[in-house]
Amino acid sequence: MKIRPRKTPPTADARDRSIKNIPDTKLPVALSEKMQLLKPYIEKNYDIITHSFYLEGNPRLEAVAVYINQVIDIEILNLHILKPLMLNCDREDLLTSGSHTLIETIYKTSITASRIAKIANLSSLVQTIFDGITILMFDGLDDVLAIDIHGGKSRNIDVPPAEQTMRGSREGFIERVDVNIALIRRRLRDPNLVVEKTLVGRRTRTEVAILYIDDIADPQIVQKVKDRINQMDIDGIVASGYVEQFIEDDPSSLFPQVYSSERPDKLVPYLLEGRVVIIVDNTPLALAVPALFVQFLQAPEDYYERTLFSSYIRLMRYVAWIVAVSLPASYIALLSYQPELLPYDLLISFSKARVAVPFPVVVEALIMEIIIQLVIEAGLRLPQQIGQTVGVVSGIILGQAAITAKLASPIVILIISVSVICTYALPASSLVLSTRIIRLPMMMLAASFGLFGLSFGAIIFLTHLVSLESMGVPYFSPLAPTRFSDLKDTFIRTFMWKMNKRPVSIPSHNPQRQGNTGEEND
Amino acid sequence: MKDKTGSMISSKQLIFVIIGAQFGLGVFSLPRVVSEYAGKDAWIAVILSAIIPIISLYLIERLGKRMPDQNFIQMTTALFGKYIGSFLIILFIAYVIAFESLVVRIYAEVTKLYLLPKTPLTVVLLMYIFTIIYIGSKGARVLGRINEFMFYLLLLSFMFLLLPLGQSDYTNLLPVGESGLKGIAQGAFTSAYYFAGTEILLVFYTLVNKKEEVMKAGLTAIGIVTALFCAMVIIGELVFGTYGLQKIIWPGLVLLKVAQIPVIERLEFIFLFVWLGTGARPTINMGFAASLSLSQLLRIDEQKYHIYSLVFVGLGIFILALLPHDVLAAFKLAEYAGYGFFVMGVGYPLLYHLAAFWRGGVRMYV
Amino acid sequence: MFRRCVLLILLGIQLVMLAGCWDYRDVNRIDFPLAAAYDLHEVGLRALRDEANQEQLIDLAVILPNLAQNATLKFRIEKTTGVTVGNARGQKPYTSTGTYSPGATGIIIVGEDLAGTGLNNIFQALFRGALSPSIQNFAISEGRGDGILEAPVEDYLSMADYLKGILQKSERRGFIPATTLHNFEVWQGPGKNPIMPLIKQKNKKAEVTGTAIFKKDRMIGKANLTETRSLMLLRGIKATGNVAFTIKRNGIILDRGSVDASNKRKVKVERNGDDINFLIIVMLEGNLIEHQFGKLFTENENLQQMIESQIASDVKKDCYKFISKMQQEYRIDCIDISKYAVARWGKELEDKVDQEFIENVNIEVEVKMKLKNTGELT
Repeated sequence: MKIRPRKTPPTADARDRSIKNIPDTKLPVALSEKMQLLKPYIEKNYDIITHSFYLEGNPRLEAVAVYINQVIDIEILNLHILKPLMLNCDREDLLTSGSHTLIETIYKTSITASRIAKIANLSSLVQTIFDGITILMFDGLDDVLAIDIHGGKSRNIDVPPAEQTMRGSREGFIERVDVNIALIRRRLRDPNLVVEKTLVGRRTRTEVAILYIDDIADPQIVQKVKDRINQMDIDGIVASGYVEQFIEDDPSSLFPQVYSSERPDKLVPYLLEGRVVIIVDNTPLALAVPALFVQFLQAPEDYYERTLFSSYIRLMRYVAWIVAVSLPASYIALLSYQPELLPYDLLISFSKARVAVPFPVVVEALIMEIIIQLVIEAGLRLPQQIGQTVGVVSGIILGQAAITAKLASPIVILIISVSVICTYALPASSLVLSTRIIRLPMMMLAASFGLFGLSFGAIIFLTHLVSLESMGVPYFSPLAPTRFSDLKDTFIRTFMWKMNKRPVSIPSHNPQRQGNTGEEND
Repeated sequence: MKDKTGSMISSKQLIFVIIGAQFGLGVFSLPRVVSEYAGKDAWIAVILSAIIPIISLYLIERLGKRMPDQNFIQMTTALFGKYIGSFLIILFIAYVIAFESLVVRIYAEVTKLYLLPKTPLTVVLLMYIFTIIYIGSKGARVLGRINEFMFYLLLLSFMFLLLPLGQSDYTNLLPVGESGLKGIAQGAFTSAYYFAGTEILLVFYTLVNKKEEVMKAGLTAIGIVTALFCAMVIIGELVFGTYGLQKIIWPGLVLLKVAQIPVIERLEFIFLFVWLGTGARPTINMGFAASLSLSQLLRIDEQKYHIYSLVFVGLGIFILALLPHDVLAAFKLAEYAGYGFFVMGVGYPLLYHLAAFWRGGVRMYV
Repeated sequence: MFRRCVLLILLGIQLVMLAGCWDYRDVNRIDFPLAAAYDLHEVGLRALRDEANQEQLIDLAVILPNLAQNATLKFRIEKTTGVTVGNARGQKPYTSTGTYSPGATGIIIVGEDLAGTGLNNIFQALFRGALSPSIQNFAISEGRGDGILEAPVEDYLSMADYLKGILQKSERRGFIPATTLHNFEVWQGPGKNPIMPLIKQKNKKAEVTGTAIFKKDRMIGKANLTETRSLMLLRGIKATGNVAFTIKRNGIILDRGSVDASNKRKVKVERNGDDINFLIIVMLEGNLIEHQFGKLFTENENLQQMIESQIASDVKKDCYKFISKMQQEYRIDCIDISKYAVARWGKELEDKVDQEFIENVNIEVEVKMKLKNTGELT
């Protein structure tokens, strides 16, 4: 099977590699010496603030707080750490009983600063500062305190802009990993939900959280995800897309093999089905693996709306995908190779429509396809108001002008527009992208071999889909290999109370999902 | 096997692999060929002919059961020694290449006739061979899945063949048993060629993960294929009658021209569209079996260099497919290839059993 | 990686091959005929061929739509002449710009004269061509076929549209047989003979005038409209059409009217030594459309029965008339009953069923009529 060769063998944590040029010296006792040691690393940085202060007593104990501006919550630092330390702390106690008491004191006097650690050597001290953690250094104490009071400004929890639903929660992920984990935790209060954190990126040191339900998820898959994330040897990641590209099975495939979403209510059911969710700091998009092809054609509303309606909509999405991929290609194949296949009257009206167009059907279709793709791209980058204008202008004026200029027939504009609309009827943006690309080779094949080319393209893509795997799970299941028990949630969505088993396509070691029998107990 | 997960298939997938190996383009010409001898009783002949693949299946399964750990190549060399064994395997590979080249050729001819009349034969053949190599390169497990998916697609497209039933005439099937024992037997003998592909089990036996279900899977596969063949022959008889069938090379395809449904005017094109997948399956499966045997024979790394033996087999099929002068010559040759099926499907296992008997004595049979 | 390279190289070879587009046809350069008419060559008609005095030539006339937006005529009729059908098609490039695509033709009209010479040899091109469908509708024209295509039409797009309307699925509208290419081929099996609708140009219009009776592929006779009805009832072609009735008692007309009837048939065959007896049961089912004089149904309970028996006996009489005409004049089985004998006695009859078989069998007819619905009035 095709598994991407990984050049670096799995080593220990990425953390170790990133800080190896900082000497591992033990921190001295005197504050001035500490500052001396630390100075070369922080002096060039304007945003690192060193704040000296005295602790109460006679003589007063000198201390320094080091932190990054706007990364920590300055309010907490002042109110709950500095203020109690400066006012209520007894110097003698500190020096006699050591840092232990100090921690006790801060624990007892401050409310929010709950995560405190001691640091004893220089390298980790420097690293901790750059991780955005507040450092407290005291004269005469060799231990340095690291207090995690992350804060600063961040976006509020908002409606997910790209995945809106009629029913269901309006909450979307934001850029803060902690908040995102909390959004999931709030929906899934299972003590078996495991949240593991690692750091990825030698320089960016981005937090990556791996979530799974311990007694459902397949340990092999969990291990595979962890291994692949730990193998990432990169200097920096800024978005979950980086992680996605590093952990997917076949990077050269057109199809997305990792599911990404900005809705927590979409990911919780996936966790319950035994998938692993990966949340990357600074990205409002979380990832879920293993992903199946059919999953990209399913939307959370399918489960919120009533069965009949959602089954209907789901079937329509499959139709939309097939139309989006093959409609322009079929048009080309039929008109330039097998026109006899069309009903006679339709054929005559098609050929009447393009009497004036001097190009072959392929060229005509390609021109329109390329124009529309560019219009979409232009609309994406522009501000919303202008983007809409571009859409309208291109939709009405360009189309009309193309017909008048005899660049394209009305039929081809209709065909391309329908296929574009069908593309955007798909719920997952990653599948939309691949659909936009697949259309082109299909059109070329149809232009060269007609229906035979279309058939050829279809079988090649089918083989590719079937051979794909996501975390070792067959990507095209439950269609091939066919899992009949999963088909009730594939093309249609059966009644909620009938889905008693978890999907077999995703390996899990707890197949029973619910105990409803569908019978009434009187 | 080196890679247990990458190249094992389940017994359920074996059903579809066997169906895929047997059920090809032949089904379209089957009604004509069988009714030539068996007349109105062609369907009885088709049912009877299933005996031969069942015998073949039984023999191969017994053979596999006797030496469950050895693949086809190891088994052959163990029984016959290095030289005779290699010869037998090369003969098997040559048979597959020759047989499948005819299948490919007939397929290309149909494509040319219905879809691409002016496209050179080589181009159609190359596209076909590319498909075979591409699918083969993905390994046995993917092959199993593809076969599974294609089978459902095939069943779906087979539904189209029910459409012309509105034009049927039941008197075409009466009286039953008119052609006599001789005619039916002759028809059954001819129809048995169309079950060629059962011998794929020789190679695939070791790839199945549950050996005890092989027999059941094989019987299911042969049962399904027989039922589909039978349905095809009966529909052909009902719509065209024995007299009409004799005039058409591929009655199965012309059947689709008869059906009248609105919107889609021409069914046969739609059917051919699905057909590249379903019709190419025998060649894909058999080509894979041959190339696997080749790489095992040459003792090369199956994972790394399987593609080379696939390309070799593919090129062999390509060159041989160019040889027949026209489609009728291909049909003529296909008849000889049918005898090849008897040799490979029944003769080979028998020979192996004999050799095992001679080497191991009666003890091994217990 | 190397594996992928091999695949890429193969793909490259494929791509080079791609450049061909051998079968590309511009849809605007293809002529899609709506209807075609085949006739025996008429001397004096323009013959493109230099060797115009061959023993038998065939005229082909086709209706082609005009695609250009400002064309004044919606369609044009092109005529060519050749030794065979295919050859006549082959003459098109000399007079016409487009590539001819025979597959699209929906209606084929055959001249009476040509039909009399046997169609199988001539229509090889239609059977053999993989691109032509088997569901083209056939009709025989009294007189020349191209004349019908040329008949002026104002209310239809072209004559082809009119013919399509009249011939396709015609048995659903009246007792008009519809014969497709497939039917024509299959109805030539042992004991079977094809029939085709007969059309004629009358008063500048084409209309159905009856049925052409074929012996295998050769036309040997015509049946008029009344005979056509009997023929279809006896042949068991499921059709729906209007049947009129007049109830007379002692010379007085009691009632007159018509029913829309659909038919079915059942055939029983018995054998007594060399004598073969057929019993054809024609079952009619219909709705009463009108009856003019009779009393109300509520008042006269016998009325329904009277109508039914009247129609049954009328139809039966017509059927017997047709059977005797068939046995004496056509001398072939055009009501498709020999197949039941063949199905019963197999090989023994199969060889001789086409030679003087139908003349010597005994055919009985039984007609059952049932009124299912008498309408809104009582």
